[in-house]
Amino acid sequence: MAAGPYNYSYIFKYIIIGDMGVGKSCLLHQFTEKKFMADCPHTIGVEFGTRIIEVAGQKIKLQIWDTAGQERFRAVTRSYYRGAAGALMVYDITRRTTYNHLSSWLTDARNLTNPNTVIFLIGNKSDLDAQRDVTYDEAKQFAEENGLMFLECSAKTGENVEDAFLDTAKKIYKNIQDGSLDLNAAESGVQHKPSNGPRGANLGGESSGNKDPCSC
Amino acid sequence: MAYKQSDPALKLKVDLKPFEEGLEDWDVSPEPDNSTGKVASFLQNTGLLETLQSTVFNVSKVFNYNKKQVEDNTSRERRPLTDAEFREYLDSVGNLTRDTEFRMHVYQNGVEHSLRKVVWKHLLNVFPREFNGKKRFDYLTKKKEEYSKIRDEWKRLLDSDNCSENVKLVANMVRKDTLRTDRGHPLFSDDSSENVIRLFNLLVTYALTHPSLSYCQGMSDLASPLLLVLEDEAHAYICFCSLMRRLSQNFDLKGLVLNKKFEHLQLLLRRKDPEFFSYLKYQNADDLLFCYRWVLLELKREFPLDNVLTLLEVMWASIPPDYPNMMLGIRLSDLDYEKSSLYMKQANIKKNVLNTAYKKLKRKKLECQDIDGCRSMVEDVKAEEVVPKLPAPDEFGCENPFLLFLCLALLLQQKDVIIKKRMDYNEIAMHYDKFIRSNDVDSVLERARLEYSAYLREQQNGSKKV
Repeated sequence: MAAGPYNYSYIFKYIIIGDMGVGKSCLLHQFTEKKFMADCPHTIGVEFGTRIIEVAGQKIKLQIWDTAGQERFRAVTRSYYRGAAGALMVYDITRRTTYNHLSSWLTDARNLTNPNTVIFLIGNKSDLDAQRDVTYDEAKQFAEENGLMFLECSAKTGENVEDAFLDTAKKIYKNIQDGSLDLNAAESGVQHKPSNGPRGANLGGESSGNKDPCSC
Repeated sequence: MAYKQSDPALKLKVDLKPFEEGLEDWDVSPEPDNSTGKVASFLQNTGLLETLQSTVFNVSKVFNYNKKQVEDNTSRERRPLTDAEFREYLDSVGNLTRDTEFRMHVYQNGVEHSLRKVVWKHLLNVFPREFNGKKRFDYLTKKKEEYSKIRDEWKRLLDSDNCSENVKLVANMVRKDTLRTDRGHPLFSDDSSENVIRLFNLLVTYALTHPSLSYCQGMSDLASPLLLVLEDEAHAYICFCSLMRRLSQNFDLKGLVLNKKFEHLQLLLRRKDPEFFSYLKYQNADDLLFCYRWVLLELKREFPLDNVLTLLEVMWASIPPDYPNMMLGIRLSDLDYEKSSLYMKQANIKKNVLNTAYKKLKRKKLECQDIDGCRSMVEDVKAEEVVPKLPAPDEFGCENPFLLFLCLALLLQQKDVIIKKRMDYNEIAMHYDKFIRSNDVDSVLERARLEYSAYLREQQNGSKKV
């Protein structure tokens, strides 16, 4: 975990959202541990994962916030969206209700993040094609209409999981390069770490900037 | 699926109405009467303060808490309550007359495993106060019958063609979560194991008999220790209903009570360890959101399942008894969740009652900012310096102050390594998460008892001065 402090130049914050039981925690686990965790306990509140990846020769640390899916916890999970550079919005291809709820998740994602936040739609459980309840084409169309990136994945087999997380990072990185994502803007969800810079700058920084930790 | 009624011949069309009418006399227990000063007077009656002072520590040490002390206290032998000892708290007809002393004993020592089945029902306030042994037995028998009837009824409904969408939805939600609750424990490890099925039955029955709350994620964690200890689905259900009388507020849609608990936990940490609090603040982690699961589930997932039983009973014993005014009503309701506003009303009342100096201080800060940006910064710094007093036990932690001290103990355990490694928000959260299901119950309890007694001393001294 606390990997060497200076061996990455960016930190991107991601959130994973979607209905309960769609496999959010399993996707995270597959991405960070390259393993499928059957019987993965349901997330209460928020859980965290991290992995360092490389995009265009730059090391980027992904800080991933995995949220609880039950409707009842929306009041809580909404507070986690702040300062996310990427949002992975997940549904289960074998349960149409989880797909039908996407517009509500999307509304939250749009309202609670900044306009540059990259939203990636994931249709999980692609290994269960026989039980499919949502076609690839309709989800693809939904993604296009809403300007989302899209892939069907399987947390179980690992299919496309890597791509979903990496493509999101590439898009964020591209936004930084072409200037559409302002790193200095509050809540950009991205921290730039100059090679020998100090640690501990704020994600989605509120106010406490470079205060000495023992000043108050 | 293992849960389904196997015999298709049993599929009947069921109308729920007549059943509901037949149970008119068994109403759901109303919110208990929370008269002011309840916790405080409980603490005085138990002699908790005096006992803590005389048996465990002297107060000067409490304030100069150090590691050595934890070790000393940990080595102090605590012998769990035995059957013979428990009987001393009962009178000749089996009425629990010395209930505060009984709770004090459990708070200090825990309970022998074989006795938990009996004792937990008392700690969870299952029985009305005047119930003797015979009445308790009859009560459980009657409630068990009622429970079985209701459970069989919704099971038939679920298997029938005219099952409502609500019932299906609830059953699906519960099934998903019961299949991922405590699967590492041998008694829950198999999809078709008896406890997994019992957990499913218990939670669906609860959701359908409590439509305003229904099923909330987290309930399966709260119910599984009950099943483990009581080894009886109906008894576990009755205990779960009692537990939820206190904990349903955690699942309030707006999270008001939970917010208040977090506010209190922040305040506690800020007072007890300003250095660590400052560090967390610097990392923007002073929201303590990574403790969300701790507070919502009262630490159930933070210890190995077999060991968390001690923590739960000690914590329950620290809370004053709260006898139900009426007997538990078990009935299926109209299965229409949206209309019931009872739950939100309760939350609103709580919100009004719980208004602390801390909140007022925050408001003051905002006002300052409105007037003059420059001055507000000065005011902010001043406000930072004045750490508000901890609320009184009746208010602190919203009916469970001891939980805050358990959380404090867990937080402080990792302070040194977190600061040393200069961890950021995610690293801090992930670091704490590494200890899921594996924290050490005894050391956490010792430290929490120590800090709690120090707090109670302060409160007592404070009230004497007034």
